[in-house]
Order: sequence, then structure tokens, then C-alpha cells
Amino acid sequence: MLALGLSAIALLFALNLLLGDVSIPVSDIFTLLSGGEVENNSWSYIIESRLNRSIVAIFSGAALALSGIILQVYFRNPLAGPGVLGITSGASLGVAFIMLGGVGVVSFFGQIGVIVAGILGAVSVLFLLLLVSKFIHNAVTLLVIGLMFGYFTSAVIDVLFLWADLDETRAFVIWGMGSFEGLQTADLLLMCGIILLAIVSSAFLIKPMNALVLGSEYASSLGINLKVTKYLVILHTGVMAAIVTVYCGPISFIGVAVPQLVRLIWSSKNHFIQIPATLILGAALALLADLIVRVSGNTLPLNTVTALIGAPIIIYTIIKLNKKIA
Amino acid sequence: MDLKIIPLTISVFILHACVQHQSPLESNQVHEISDTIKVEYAEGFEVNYTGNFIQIISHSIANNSAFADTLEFPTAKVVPDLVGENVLAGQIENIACQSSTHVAFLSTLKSIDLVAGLCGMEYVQNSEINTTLAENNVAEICAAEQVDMEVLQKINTDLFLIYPFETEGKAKYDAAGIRTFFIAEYLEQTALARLEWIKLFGLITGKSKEANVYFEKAESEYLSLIRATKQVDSKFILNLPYKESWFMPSANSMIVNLIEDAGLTYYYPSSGITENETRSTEAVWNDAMYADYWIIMASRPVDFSLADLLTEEPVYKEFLSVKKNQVIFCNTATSDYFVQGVVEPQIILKDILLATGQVSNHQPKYFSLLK
Amino acid sequence: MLELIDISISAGSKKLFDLEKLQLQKGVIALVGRNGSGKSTFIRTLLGEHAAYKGAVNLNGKNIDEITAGEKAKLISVVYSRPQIFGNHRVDDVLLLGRLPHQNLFSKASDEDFEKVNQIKALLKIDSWSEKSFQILSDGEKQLVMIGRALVQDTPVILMDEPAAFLDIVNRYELSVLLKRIADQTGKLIICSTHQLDRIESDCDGLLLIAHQKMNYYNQPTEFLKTINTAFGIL
Repeated sequence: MLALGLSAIALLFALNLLLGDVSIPVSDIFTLLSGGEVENNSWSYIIESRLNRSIVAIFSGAALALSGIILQVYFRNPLAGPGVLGITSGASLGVAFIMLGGVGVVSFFGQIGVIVAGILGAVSVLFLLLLVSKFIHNAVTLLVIGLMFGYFTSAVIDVLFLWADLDETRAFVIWGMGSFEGLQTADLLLMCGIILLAIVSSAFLIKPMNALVLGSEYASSLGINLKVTKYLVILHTGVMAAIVTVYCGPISFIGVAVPQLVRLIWSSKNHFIQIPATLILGAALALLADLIVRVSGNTLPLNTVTALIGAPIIIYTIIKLNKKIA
Repeated sequence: MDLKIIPLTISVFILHACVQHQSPLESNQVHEISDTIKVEYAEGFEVNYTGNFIQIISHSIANNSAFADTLEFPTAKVVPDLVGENVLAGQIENIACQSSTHVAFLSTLKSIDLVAGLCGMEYVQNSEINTTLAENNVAEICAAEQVDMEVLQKINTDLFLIYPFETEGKAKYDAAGIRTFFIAEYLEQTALARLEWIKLFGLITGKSKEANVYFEKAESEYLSLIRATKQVDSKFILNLPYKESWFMPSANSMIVNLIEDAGLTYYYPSSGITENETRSTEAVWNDAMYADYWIIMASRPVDFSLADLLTEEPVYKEFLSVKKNQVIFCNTATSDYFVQGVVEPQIILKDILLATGQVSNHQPKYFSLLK
Repeated sequence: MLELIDISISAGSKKLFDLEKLQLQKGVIALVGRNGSGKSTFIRTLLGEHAAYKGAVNLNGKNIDEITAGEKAKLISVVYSRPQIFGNHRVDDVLLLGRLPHQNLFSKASDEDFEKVNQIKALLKIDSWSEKSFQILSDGEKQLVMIGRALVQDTPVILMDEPAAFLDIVNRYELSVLLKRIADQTGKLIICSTHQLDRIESDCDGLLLIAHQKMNYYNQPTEFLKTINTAFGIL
């Protein structure tokens, strides 16, 4: 299964390099990838952009799906996802403050200010959640607080729209539609590096997640430190969701749909298997969504495509797993 | 039916009747006309002279979503029977504008004092106009792009000039007793056609003579500049992308026609669509290798330079226009392109001619070579 | 094995009960008391999860608060009243979760782990359930699997907090008999809180009774019912 998933990623990756509004011959793509030169100078940038975009899709999809599975198991809720804790909203708020909040000029994507603000926004939500979680030990209550925080930040963003001019509003709305495009190499390395770090350290969550399917009381009796686990969960999902949101916009559905699909497809319940499966499926789904965006001539926003793919998956798996998930 | 609702309904009707929506027409008032208007370029409005009325009709152009609106000014004393809902008698003393470009026309005709309300006050970059608007306590009638009906009703405007976006919008204003008129000068496909709307504003404000004078002067300057133009055999692309989408104005748009009047050729031939076309960013990158000029209208910091532009995307340094140092930039954050620019097409044209080396001795106002 | 000295347990500001001294080795010990008397709190205290107590709880001669979570999970397993799993686990998957404290960072199951699962399935006579989905089992079957999971954890002490609360009469009867059999066959100490007294004298080796803010231990099964009824004055 894992090998099949990896082949799917390889195939989608190749298609993402090959397909686009500008048709570049396969031979030229190979020439460019091996460092050669072709007749049209823009092609090397186009291939680089397609390459970057595919890598961003792979890492974003993997990060969102991993956040999703961690949150779903932790909150024992198949509808939990990175958006639920309000972390995505926190990142959005940070980005909104820069993009809409009267800096006076349109802010560009890739500008350091947006990145810093987005991460600050997400981290603020994180700290708020950590603070709240000191007093609230019930996972569902924490989830509801995260949801409320999401609504609140959305409302604040709506208020910020009042002061924004047309250009700023348009830029923010486009960011909100989600896109894997437009990351330059330095940003890409930073984003992928952080996500990679989070993926590697999520190994520490394998045992807690295995135990948490029984509920927190049982998990504790299996030797799991619930407090440490809670911090690990918030840190991992927070950082991953924030970095993806800042760079690619608040991307929906991947985080919720992929873990459910994994649960349906993979028979092993060990998260040593489920986490890699989630990463692979998340990456593949993100690549597929981006491929559809590109084939549509970039007329379909990414979030439209993820919803078109993700929502049916969620409905299907919910029906399929309805009897099987407590 | 619940009987309790009847007295309630009746009382609502009584209350409704008490609210006076519109002052009855005083039919003996006559609109003053200083000069006859002849429409030569504009396709979005026409003026008809009948026995007792001047009739102005504004309507959609070509294949745009259809709309039409009529305004009639009595030129002689009319019998009350003839007074229709489109008739506006007497001089207009109080105008509200949904677009800041309307203000540009009114300001040019020195009728800015008529403006009582404006939507999007912050888009006016011209400090002189801004000062006047502030001195006249002009009301901001919009909040977050939405017209605030209460503010609008409070200023008690004679005429509200609106976009023809939604026809139910007009009905909404009618219901509130606010007389409206569609202004769609931005749909015109040439700069002179757009400027010619000043004549319509001249009719409304009773300054058709001034409007004719202004238009003819600008027109002759514009036309003489075209005559001086050399065909430079250069292709141009426009603007900047938003992520993977590059909104490229239609080949039939006013700005493309204006630049083509300067002797340049648009890279994208007409596809029959009048709206902006969305192209993928990578496709424009590919095309930009062959486009001699890159003309950008965007909001950027003061002193925005070519080097700043190149940091936005590495591929830009490969653009033919960048290599030839032929990037022409209009900073919409610092120039009043969107408002004052509408009534100064001859200056915009001259800016382009200067930037393409076809004229000298000109101080650029909107567009200049990006260095 | 399990040793409690001068225990006083409270919840919030409310004092629950005192216990002077208790030593337990093996067998099925019934934990009986009225609602709110502190049965669940007692179990949580033994698990080291309830801090509001005085005195010492020692497990194999070591204070419970000094044992790490990982070590503790190899000494005490637990069964709660409501069996629940998040996910579409098979019976084998649930049983295997009991091996978690014995596994490395990646939760990789060893041959020994599978061996243990098979042993317990044989002990509980549920060999044929391996591939069954846990979620489609009846409540009684689910609880049996949860007990199997605790057994797979392979701890000398098993704590059960009203394991029969959601079971029907037949399942309660079978559970009671089963616990006795397991304790006899494995030599484990099973402390089980319950309100089910009909088989207490035949299937339990000891009785922990909480009454009048005191916990007392009795080890004469034939006296159990009388003791309980006397304590609560219902005879």
C-alpha cells in the first residue's frame, strides 16, 4: 500500500512538472532538470516554479494530513482538523493584520512581514490554548474553545476589511483561496525544513496516539504521560498548520479527509504505519488537487478543488465507518 | 389568516403614508442649458433634444450585460401631465457619487461644490479635491464598499450617480425616494469616449459649455499627439500577477487602446471579450520573453524602483522589457491615475510617448520609465 | 504486592474514607460502597492519578508516587465500565494495545506480543474473534475484549471500575465467573468495584467495604453479604 502511494506521488509529481499553460517538451524538461539551457529563458523559471509548487504541495498536504490525524485521535473526533483548534484562524489573523491592517501599501507574498505575522498569530493562539488547557482537562471542551476562537478571529478579520482598500482586500481574498504557488526557494526551504522537523519528531506521538484510541484514562494506564502528550499535540499541529497557512493560505478538507481515508484503507492500527500512510496520502491528495487547479488553467481556486475532492471523501468514509468508529 | 395582523398592517400603512418620500415636482422649473451637446465618441450614453426636454440615456455597450437609464430635463415650462418619473426639474444642487471618478468630472467642471456624498473618499489622491471635499463636509456614504442608506438619505441628494452593477439596487433607491442615474463611463473602450462623459456631467450641472470647451481642448491635444506618433513596432504586456493569476486587460479596453494610440501593439490580440482576461502567470512569463514593453499600474511604495520590482520574482530579470529597460510604471498609490487620470487622457498618452522616446520636454504625471 | 498504610482519601474538601492498613496478594477482591463513597477515587489513587490522599500506597515494596508511568503500566492494568475505541480496530488490534508498555518508541509488536495475545484469546475462549471488528461486538463482548486487553498488558494487578455496569444479567454472571477463573489460573490480584452482590460470596476472595467513611477488608466469603447488609443497615 505504501509503495503504491509513493508511486502515485511520483506519477502526480511528474504530471505536475509536465502539464501547464505553457507546453514545454519533455526533452527540454530533462535538459533543464540536468542543469542545461533551452531556447526560452523563462522555461527554466517555469519548471522551477512547477517544481517548487509540487514540493510545496507535497509538504503542505503531508503536514495538514498529519495535523489532522493527530487532532482526530486526540479529540476522538473524525471531524477534527487543523482548522478546528483555531490555529489556522490565528495564522490568518496574523496575515490579515499585515495584508489589510493599514500598513499603507499592498504587502507582497513572500514578504517577511506576512510570514512573521502569520506565525505570531498562530503561536498566540497556541499559547492561549496552552493557557486554557491548564484549567481545562476535557479534550472536547478544548476543541470547542478552539472552534470559538476560530469564529472570533474570522470576525476580527471581517472588521479589518472595513479599513482595507480594494487592492489589499483582493490580495487577502486571493490568499484565502489557497495556493501552493509562488514560493521562492528560500521560503520553500524554510517551510519544508520546519515541516520535516515536525514529521520526524512526531515519532514521539506514535505510542501516545496508539493508546489514545482507548481514551485518555486508558492511555494513562498504559504509561502515557497525558500532559506531555497534550503539549506535543498542540505544538506539532500548531506549527505545521501555521507554516502551511502562512505560505499557502487556509487550505481546507485535506486535514480532515486524509486521516479518515487512511483509517479506511490501511488495516494496521499502529500509528507507526498510519502516520506514514497519512503523510503519503496527504501529499498525493494535495498534488492531485494542485494538478486539477493547473489543468483548469488556474481558474479553480485550490480550496474549491480540495472541497470538491475532500467533502465526498469525508461523506463516504463517515458513512462507511459510521458503525465502526465509536 | 391571523386577524391580529390586520390592525398591525393598517397601522404600518398609515405610518408609511406619513413618511414623505419625495418632494413633488415643481413643474415650472426649467433646466438651464448653456450649450448643445453632441456625442461623438462615447457609446454608453446619448443625448436627445425634443420639444420640451433634453433626454439623456445611458446604456450598456455592445455585449455587456444590458441596462439602460433615462434622465430628462425640461427646457420649457411643461404641463404637469408630462412630468414622468425620469424628469428632473430645476437646477441640481446636491449630488451623491458612487464612484470617485465622478468627482473628477465634476471637479474639472468646477462643480465639486455640488457633491454632498461620495462613496470611497479614500481613493481620491488629489489633495486639492480632498481639501475641498473636507471643507464642504462631504459625507462618506459607503462602509466597506456598501452604500449606507441612512447616510445617503440624510444628505437628501437630488441625484445619486450609481454603477449599473445591479438593477435591483436602483429599485432599492427608488423605494427610498432617491433619484438615481447609471454612470458607466468606465465601460468605454477609448480614452476620448470615456472623457466625453464630461459632457453628460456638463448637462447635469448646467455647464455644458464648459464641458464642451474642456473636451475639445483635450481632444485636440490627444489627436495631435497621435498624429505625431511613430509606429514603434513594439509589443507590450500589462500589469502584475496575483499568485498564479495574471489579470490582463482586454484588447478592447480603454487602457490598451490608449497605449496603442501611442504606437505600441498589445501582445494579446482581441478575443472579443471586454472584461479582463485571467492568464496563468507562467504563460505570461513565457510571453514576456517576447514583449518589448511592460506597462504596470500598481500600488507600490514611493520611490519604487526597477530593482524592487526584480526582487518580487526572479524571472522578471529575464523579461525582454526588463533587459531593454522598457518597464513603464504608474504608481497608483502616489498618482491620481484612477480619478484625475480619467479626465487627462492626453497627459497619459504624452507620458507613454515620453517613456517610449517619442516626445521630449514633458514632465510625466502618471506613467514613467521604471529605473 | 499491594500495601496500603494509614490511608486517608479526600476529594476536594470532602473527606471520603480512612483505611488503616491493607495488604493484598492475589485473588478477586470486591470493592463495595455506596455511590460517591470513593470507589473510583480509590482506584485512581492506586493508579497514582489521585493526589489528594495521605498515607502510603506501596506496590512491590515501592511507593506508587515513585514509580514511573512506564513501570507502573507494567504493574497495574485497568478496565473501566465503558468500552470505547476510536477507529475501526479489529479485536486483535485492541488486544495488542495492551502490549504498549512493553514496546519501543515505534510500537513495533514483537513475536512475544502476538504470543501473549494468542494466549489470552485462548484463556478467554475468544480465538475466533481475531478478525472481528470491535465496534460490531455486543457490549458484553466488548467488555470481554477490554478485560483481555488488560490481561495482555500482563500486570500482576488489574483494577476494574464497575466493569459490569453496562452488562445484562447473563453477561454479569459470566464476567463474575470469568474473573474468578482468571485469578485462580493466573495468580493475579483483581480489585473490582461492583454493586452486584449475588455472586460475591462464591466468586470473590476478599471484600473491601467502604462505609461510614471507613474502608475495611474482610476475607471470609461466607460472611460478605451479612457484613455488607449490616454496614448499610438494610437488614
